[in-house]
Amino acid sequence: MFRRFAHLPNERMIPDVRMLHEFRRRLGAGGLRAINDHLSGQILLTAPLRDKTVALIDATDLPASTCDKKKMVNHGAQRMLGWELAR
Amino acid sequence: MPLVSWAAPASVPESYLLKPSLEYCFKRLAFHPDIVVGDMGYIHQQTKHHFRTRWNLAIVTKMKADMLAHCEYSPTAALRCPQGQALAWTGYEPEAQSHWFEPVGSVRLCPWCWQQSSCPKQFSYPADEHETFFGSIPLNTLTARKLLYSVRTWIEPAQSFEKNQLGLKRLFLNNLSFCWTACLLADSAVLIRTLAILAQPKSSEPLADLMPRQAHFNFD
Repeated sequence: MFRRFAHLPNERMIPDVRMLHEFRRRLGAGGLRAINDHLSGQILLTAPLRDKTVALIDATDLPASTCDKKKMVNHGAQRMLGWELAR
Repeated sequence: MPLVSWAAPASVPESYLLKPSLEYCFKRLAFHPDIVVGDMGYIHQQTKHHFRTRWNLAIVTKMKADMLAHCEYSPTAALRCPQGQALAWTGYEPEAQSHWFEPVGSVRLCPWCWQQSSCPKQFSYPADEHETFFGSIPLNTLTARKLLYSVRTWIEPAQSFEKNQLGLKRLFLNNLSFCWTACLLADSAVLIRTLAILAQPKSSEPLADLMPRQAHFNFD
């Protein structure tokens, strides 16, 4: 995401899944938030804020990929009852 | 710039996250905005009252349709004095928690009013008479209309940037934990971009004042 954002040409040479997973696990949401807080603090210090500051609150939807969470039909061995001819 | 982001299941209303967002903002950044503009009147009136009285913070939302039907005030109509003269908002007094209105307009009825000798020419309305309509900024004022219909629309391109240009929408978000990480990473990208824009030195053009104002077409 960052490479695409920064227009870096080698999008294929990115850390693999394991490295990204470890990075995510070590940092956690709290670590990322701390980084963002630091960046926000810097912006608030340098941005030319007016007397009144306005914030907007809004939600946006992100599609959840939940195909693997859905209940699947059991494909295990099934007890099949054979057909019998009516007598 | 994104101040606070939350990743939550779709069943969690955004209004529930207003209070934690502002408190988080105040604790971590020692900053809170003066005005918060919401989408619709889904934010509880008690929450609006809390922030108005304790933090002197205005929360501006539109009125819900059912609220409009039962409210004696309308966002599209000016308040009027008992004799029918239209009143304009002159400001909010936080100490008294009340709004002040006074007659306005070139065709004022006041010179012909039989009550003009005893009229105070200023009318006060308590802000908690209707928390959504009055609050800190009454909805029938130009300020509220600009906030709701001009400023509010800025949120769409901001969210579109994160979702479409940064590709948040295309990620395989199969659990909430990963969704948190992706959202916070997207916020980081936006914040770094904002810092870069702020840090970029402005181009000094010595002849800027002499350059023609008219746009020119470049056919290259």
